[in-house]
Amino acid sequence: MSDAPGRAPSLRRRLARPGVIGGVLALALGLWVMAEAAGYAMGSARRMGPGYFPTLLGGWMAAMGAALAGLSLWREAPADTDRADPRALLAVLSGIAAFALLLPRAGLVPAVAGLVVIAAQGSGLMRPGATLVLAGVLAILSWGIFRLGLGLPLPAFTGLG
Amino acid sequence: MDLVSNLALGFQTALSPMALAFCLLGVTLGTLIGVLPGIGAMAAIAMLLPITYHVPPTEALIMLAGIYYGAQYGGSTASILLRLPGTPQAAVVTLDGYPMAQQGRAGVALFITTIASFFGSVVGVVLLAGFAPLLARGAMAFQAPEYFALMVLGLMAAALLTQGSALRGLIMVALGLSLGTVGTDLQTGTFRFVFGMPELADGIGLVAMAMGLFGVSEVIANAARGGAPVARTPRWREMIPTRADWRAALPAMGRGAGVGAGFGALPGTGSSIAAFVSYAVEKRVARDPSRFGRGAIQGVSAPEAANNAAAQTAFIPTLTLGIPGDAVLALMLGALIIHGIIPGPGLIEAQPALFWGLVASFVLGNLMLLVLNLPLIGVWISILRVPYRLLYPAILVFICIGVFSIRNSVFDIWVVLIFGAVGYGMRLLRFEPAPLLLGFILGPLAEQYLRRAMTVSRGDPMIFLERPISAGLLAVAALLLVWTLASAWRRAR
Amino acid sequence: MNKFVALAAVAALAPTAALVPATAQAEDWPTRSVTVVVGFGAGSTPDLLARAVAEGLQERFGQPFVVDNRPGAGGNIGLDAVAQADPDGYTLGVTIPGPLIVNPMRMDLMYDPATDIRPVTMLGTQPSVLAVNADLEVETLEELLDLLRADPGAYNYASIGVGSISQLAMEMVALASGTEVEHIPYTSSPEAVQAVIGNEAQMATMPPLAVLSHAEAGTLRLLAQTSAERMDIVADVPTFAELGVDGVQAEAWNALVTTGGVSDAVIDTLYGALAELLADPDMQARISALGFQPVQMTPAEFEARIAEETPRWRAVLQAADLLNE
Repeated sequence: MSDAPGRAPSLRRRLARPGVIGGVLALALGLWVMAEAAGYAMGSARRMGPGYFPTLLGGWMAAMGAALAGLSLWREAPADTDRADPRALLAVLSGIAAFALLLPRAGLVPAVAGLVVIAAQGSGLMRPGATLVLAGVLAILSWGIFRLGLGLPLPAFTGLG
Repeated sequence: MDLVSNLALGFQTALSPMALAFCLLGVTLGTLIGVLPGIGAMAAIAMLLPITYHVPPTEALIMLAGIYYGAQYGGSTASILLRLPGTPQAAVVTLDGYPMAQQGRAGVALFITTIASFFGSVVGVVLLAGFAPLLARGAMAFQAPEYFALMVLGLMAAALLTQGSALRGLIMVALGLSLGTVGTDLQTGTFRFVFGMPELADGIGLVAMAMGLFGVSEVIANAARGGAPVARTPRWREMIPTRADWRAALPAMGRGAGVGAGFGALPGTGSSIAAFVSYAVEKRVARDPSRFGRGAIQGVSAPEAANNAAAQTAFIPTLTLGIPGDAVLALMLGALIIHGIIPGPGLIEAQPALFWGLVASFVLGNLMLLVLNLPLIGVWISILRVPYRLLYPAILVFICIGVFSIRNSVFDIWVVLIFGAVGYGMRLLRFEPAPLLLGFILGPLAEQYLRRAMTVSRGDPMIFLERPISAGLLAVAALLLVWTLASAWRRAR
Repeated sequence: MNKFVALAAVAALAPTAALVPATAQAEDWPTRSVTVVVGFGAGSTPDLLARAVAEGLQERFGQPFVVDNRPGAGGNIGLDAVAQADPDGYTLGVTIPGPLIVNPMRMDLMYDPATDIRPVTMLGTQPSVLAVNADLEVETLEELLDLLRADPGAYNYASIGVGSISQLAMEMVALASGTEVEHIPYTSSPEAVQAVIGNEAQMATMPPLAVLSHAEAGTLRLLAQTSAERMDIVADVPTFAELGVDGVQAEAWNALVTTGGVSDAVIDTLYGALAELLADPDMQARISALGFQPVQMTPAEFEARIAEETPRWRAVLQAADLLNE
């Protein structure tokens, strides 16, 4: 993310700075909150309606976002930022989605296994065999801890009667 | 003096074999619950409610109290090792605890948090024993304007004195406050930002959000890192803080415990603000504030001491006002009522054996926790020896089940997913989630107090400046804001 | 620990198990575990009551009765779960008047209590007590109403939330006495009580348990109770009707319900066991300890009671501008 020294960075480089992107997002989000809050009653200072406080917050967020974007466009302190890792992002989020879908329909064991198998693809370092073993071990472990040990209402398999 | 005879009565109660056994059971369960973020209160309650019917009230209370403060000890463990905070207090501990663990100093961090927990608790117990009526009266001076001012101060502390720039902190606080408005408006019953989803009627789940923002985003960022975070289990000697560590950590503990004990007496909100404010205090008094966020030991010991001191003094509003701070304290009140004891102003005088027995059990319980937790450090650290490619799916499993178990809701797992993505995005854009979390917690409260104060004053904002305590708190918050922005400006030029 | 309790429960249950009446219908409900959904968190009053009843039913039927907490939206989420369940009698619910009567008139809900919920019986009821800050210069209800009429809108009352019985009872008072009081909602009864003691609000209608200890300590004064007749827990506090104020009747009862469409046979079996259970002195003592008055009410009587209360709440909601039309 560091800009080349001595030369003013190009506009494109400047616009891609995290502060600029974050500031613009905050500005947009703040404006959206204000717009949404406009649909709720504002009330008066004595009897504030449900829209009063969110409007203040949205305005605050938008103003701070604009300030951050502006300042970052001007200059931004160099710092090391993570590179985005789309593979990990996709694998982890899909794994959680699988858990949410499988838990009520199939039960704890399939849900845990699904989560583990899918999420484990995120590292790109797991062999299929090891993944299955890990899924099995974690499924049995979580059933033992949460169902047997803590008695949470999480049947191992549902839909089987 | 009365205190001596009261304490004698207390220890007589707390040292009975049955009371000791329940105390041990409570603190052990509490430690486990604290270590597993999310699973916490609900599982414990489901398991223990039947028991409380059959156990005398004093023992039931000793056990439940043990769970409550035991969980405070354990709460920092997952935050330090895996960046999985289940509470805003624990989120503060991640700020410097997690970097310490990344530097191979997890043992030192856990050791210091255990000592800080013990120290903070002892300070809290002493204040509870000596000054309970005084603290209760002090808390009574706090009404809507004071609470609102206190929250403004807490939010400023969180926005300005965690990592990153002040502007980013202020944006995160605003975002947290906005997220906090999701749900039913308590004043009018209007749904806000609910979009037809009944699960959002009571707002976004705190733990689900925290697990997504901190835990899941951390997993995504590190998934490709195959190896173990720590190469080998450190030897005992490496877990023990050095002399330099102690010199930095001990005064911080003292300050933290003082801050925490004061805030804890304020019903409901005290302990989460206490941790943030004590962190801010440390950063303010430190000779080199830039070390905070990169593994400063003061940043771990002060909030941890504050948090535990607050956990002890929080029993004052719970028992004398009947206002519980969280689900476990609410269960304690339930247990009292089952046995026909009504929490209220007369409780300490009407039930001396119960109150003082409880106080004495705090002393014993904290000793037990110390003995229990120090050897466990080695066990926890060995978690970090598991290669991350095997560890992170397990972390995700624990997150998902833990979040689900809070209110048996699949919806909350989707919340984890969404905030995992949001948290990862924030990470790439260099936003810190900790101030967001405090804003989220305090948002609904701050709004309530603001609106209440304005209704009481019939719309006159001067109420915040006419009352000395609220005016003072707001002045400190304003000074903090001006000072931070001024120094940022100076640095930028 | 659990084992110990389980053993104790088995020991307690053994003699009664043999006595389970064989009088029930041909219907052999229940043959498996029954879920009791509570729309409030563990440790709340409805939860404690549900657990006491579930334990009693479990002893009588020899099948597990498992309490399932589904807190949220003032109990609506829990009642919704009951409404959506299969109408086989294996899902019961413990509810307060809010989700069953009041909330459907206030907002759009996913369920219609008239068709999706089948009332079984009331488990216990409690009045609301009108409490004032002891420093307020009033000794009686009459003096309070005079004060309010002299200066409408100058005083605040605290409640435990918008649409709660605590708010609506006070609105009833305002409506019946033709005066105006400013509403400040809190989130729990201790908070609301604290606000009255701290004079942020001057009065509140509250469950008896929330105010009794403060009345004893002298910080609150109890002026009247909102039930039709005096209840044991506050036997020395007069009712509104006794004091000549008509139209103030509000009870915060807890009731057992099930899914709409559950067969009469199941209801008969269930109610038969409940009637016995609720007549049991031990159970009555447990209900009383939670601040409730035990009641006996057949399903038909309970349905009639709901029908009787509905227009009363509608009128108050209308007056307080809370009605959803």
